[in-house]
Amino acid sequence: MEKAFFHHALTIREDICTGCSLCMRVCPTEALRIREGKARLIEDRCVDCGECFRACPVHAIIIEQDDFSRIFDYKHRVALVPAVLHGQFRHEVSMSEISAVLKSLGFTWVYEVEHGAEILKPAIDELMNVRTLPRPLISSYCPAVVRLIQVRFPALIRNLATVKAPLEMAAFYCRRVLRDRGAHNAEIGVFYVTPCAAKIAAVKSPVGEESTPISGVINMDFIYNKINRTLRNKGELPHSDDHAYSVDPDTLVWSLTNGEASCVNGRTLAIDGMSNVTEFLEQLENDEISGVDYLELRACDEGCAGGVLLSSNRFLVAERLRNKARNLQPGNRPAEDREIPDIEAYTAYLMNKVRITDEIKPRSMYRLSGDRDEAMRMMKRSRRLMCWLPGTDCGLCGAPSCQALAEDIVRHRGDISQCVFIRESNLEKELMDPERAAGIMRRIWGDNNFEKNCNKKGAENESN
Amino acid sequence: MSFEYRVTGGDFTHAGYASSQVKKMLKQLGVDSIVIKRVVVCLYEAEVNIVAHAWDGIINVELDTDTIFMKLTDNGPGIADIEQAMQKGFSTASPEVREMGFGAGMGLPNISANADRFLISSEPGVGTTLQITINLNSPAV
Amino acid sequence: MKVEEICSVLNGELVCGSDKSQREVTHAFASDLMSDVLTVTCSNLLLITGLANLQTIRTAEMSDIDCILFVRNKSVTPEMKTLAEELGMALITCPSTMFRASGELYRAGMKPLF
Repeated sequence: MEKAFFHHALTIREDICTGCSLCMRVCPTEALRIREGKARLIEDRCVDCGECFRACPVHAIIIEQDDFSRIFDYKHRVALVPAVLHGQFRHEVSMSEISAVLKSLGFTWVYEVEHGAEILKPAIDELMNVRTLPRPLISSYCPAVVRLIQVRFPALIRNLATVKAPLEMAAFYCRRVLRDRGAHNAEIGVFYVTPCAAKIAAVKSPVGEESTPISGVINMDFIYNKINRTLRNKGELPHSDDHAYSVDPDTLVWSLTNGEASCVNGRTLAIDGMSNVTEFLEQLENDEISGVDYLELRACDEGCAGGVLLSSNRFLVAERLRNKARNLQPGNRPAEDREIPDIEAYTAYLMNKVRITDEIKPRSMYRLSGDRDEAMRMMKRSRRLMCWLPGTDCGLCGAPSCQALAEDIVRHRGDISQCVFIRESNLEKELMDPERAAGIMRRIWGDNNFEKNCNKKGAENESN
Repeated sequence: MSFEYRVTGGDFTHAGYASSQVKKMLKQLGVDSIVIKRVVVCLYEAEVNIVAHAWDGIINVELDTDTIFMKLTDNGPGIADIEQAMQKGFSTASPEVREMGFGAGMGLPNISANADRFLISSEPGVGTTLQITINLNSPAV
Repeated sequence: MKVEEICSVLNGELVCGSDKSQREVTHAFASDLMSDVLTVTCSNLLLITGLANLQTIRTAEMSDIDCILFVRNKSVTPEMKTLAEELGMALITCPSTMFRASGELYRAGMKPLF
C-alpha cells in the first residue's frame, strides 16, 4: 500500500456503512471501492471534496473534528467565523448575537474570517502583475480544488496562485494582536468554524505550507445547532437593528461564487461544483481555453454556502449574505473590538506571510508505476482487459467503472472475475460453478445484501 | 501501441477527444507534465486544423515508452504555400472559425515549436499530412 | 525458467509458438478450474492444466497468461493453435500427470504463485 499523501477529514464508519455504493459512484477521483459490503477509501486519491458525504444515505461518512473542550487548553480562545455561518440565520439574527453565543461557549474573541480577504486583494493584484506567471492564475482558496489539481491535473499546478487563504491571514492577525497585547503564542488558541471537510484537511496537513497558525477546527453544524438552541431558549428572538459588520461588503461575500473573482482585475471566471470544475480544468489542460486571467474555482455549488457542514439551503444562505452585504454599514465595529487596531494596520506584517512558499507537489492518481517500462506494460494489460469488460460501468465489481476495475487489476488490487459479465459468461459455458460465483459476489458486497431485511430504506418496515 | 481517431470537418463540438485520450495515457505512464503539455498542444492544434479546414481526417498515434508519434492525415483543400502557412499570424480561417477562438494563425508554428520532429506535406485539392514526433523523456523544447 | 527448459524437464513439446522458446516464466499455477485461473493477477505466469479447449486459451488471455502447459498428452486442436498464435502464446504439451509435472517443475526451481 502506498503511503497516504494527505490527511483526510472524512472517515467511513464501517459499523454504519451498508455498502450501497452511492459514494463510489459520485467520487470525482474514483477513490472509493466496495469490499466485503463496505465502502473503502483509497487515501492517496481522496481530495476531501465531500461529495461522498453528501451522497451517503445513512450518514456513515463522518467528518472528524477536534474535541471542543480543547479550546480550554488556551488562555486566549479565538473563534474564526466565516460569513456563511451568519448567512444561515434569519435576517433578524445579528452577528453580535452569534458572537455572544460563541462567547458563552467559552471563546474570548470572535473574529470574522473574511477580514483576511482584505490582505488577499493586494496580494493577488501583486501576482497578477508578474508577467512571467502563466495565465490564468487559479485561486488556491478552495483546498479541494488545489488537491484535485495535484492528483488529476498536475500540469496546472504552476497556474495556482501562491497566496494563502483569508483564514490564515485572519489567524495570523489575531495571534499578532494578542501577542502585541502581552499574550504568549502558546497561550493563544485559534479555532476555525469550518463549513467543509476540505478546510479541515488543509488545516491539518497544509499543501505546500510549513506551519499553520490555526490550533483546531470546530464543525459548523455543531456551532449552528448550539446557536439555534440558545436563541430558541431565549423565547422570542430579540430583534436587533445591528446588521453591522466591520468587513467590507465585497469581502463579506468572498466565499460565495464570484465573490473572489469579482475583486480581481482582468478577465475573471468563477466556476463552482466539482463536476463543472473538473470539466473546465480538463479543457484548460488541453489548452482549449485562452484569454482568461484569473479563475475562481470552488468544489461546492454556490461556493462555501454549499459547504457540506452547512445546515441551511445553500441558495438561501447565498441570498441572505448578498443582502447583508448590500445593507452593510461599513466601519461599525463591535464595541469591545474598537480599541484593537484593525487588520489593515497589520498589512505590512501580513503581506510578508501571505505567499505560499513551499512547493505544491504533483500527486498524480493516474501514474501506474514509477518505472516507465512497467507503467507501459501495465497500461497495455489494462487496455487488453478493457477488450473484455463490458463498458457498462455498472459498479457491481465494486469499482466505479470498467476502466477503474481494469486499472485495479493491473495494480494487483482486484481480479477480472469480479466482473459480473465475465462471471455470467463463464457460468453459461460451465467454466465456473454457481457457488463460486456467489462467493465472489459476497466478497464484494458482503453477506447482508443477500438476506431479506424489512428495515432497510424504502422497505416494508423502514427504520434506522 | 497504436490508436486511431477519426475527425469530422466542421465538428468543433467533439474536437479535443483525441487529445484527452492521449493525455490520460501519458499521465498513466508518468510522463513529465511539461512534456504532456507539448504533446497535447501539438495534437489539439493539429486536430482543430482538420476540423476547421478539411472535410475529414484520421489521427494515428503510435505510443511507446520513449516516444510518441502522431500522424494526422486529412482530406481537404490542402495548403498551397506551406512556407507562408508556417509563419506566425498567417491564417485562412473563416470569420466563423475565428469567432470560436481559433484561426489566429498560430497553429502550425505552435506545433512546430512544441514538436521534436515535425514534417508537413500537402497537395492542394487533396489534403494535408502532418507528422509529429515528441520524445517523452526530455522536457526541454 | 525458459520455455525450452520446461520442455526439457518434462520431455514436452512446444506445439505452438516455436519462436517463443526463450520466453521467461517465473511462476506457475496449476488448475483445471478456469474460474480459479481468472483470479490470478501475476505476469510471466505458466498455466498448468488438463483442460484443453478454446476456453482455456480465452481464459488465459483474460488473465494475461501467455504460456500454457497441457498435461497428459492432451491434444491441442488447430483452432486452439490459431487463436494462441494470434495472441502470441506459447503452448506446450507433455505426457506427465498434473501432479508429476508440477512436482518436476517445482524441483527445477519454478516458483508457486501462492
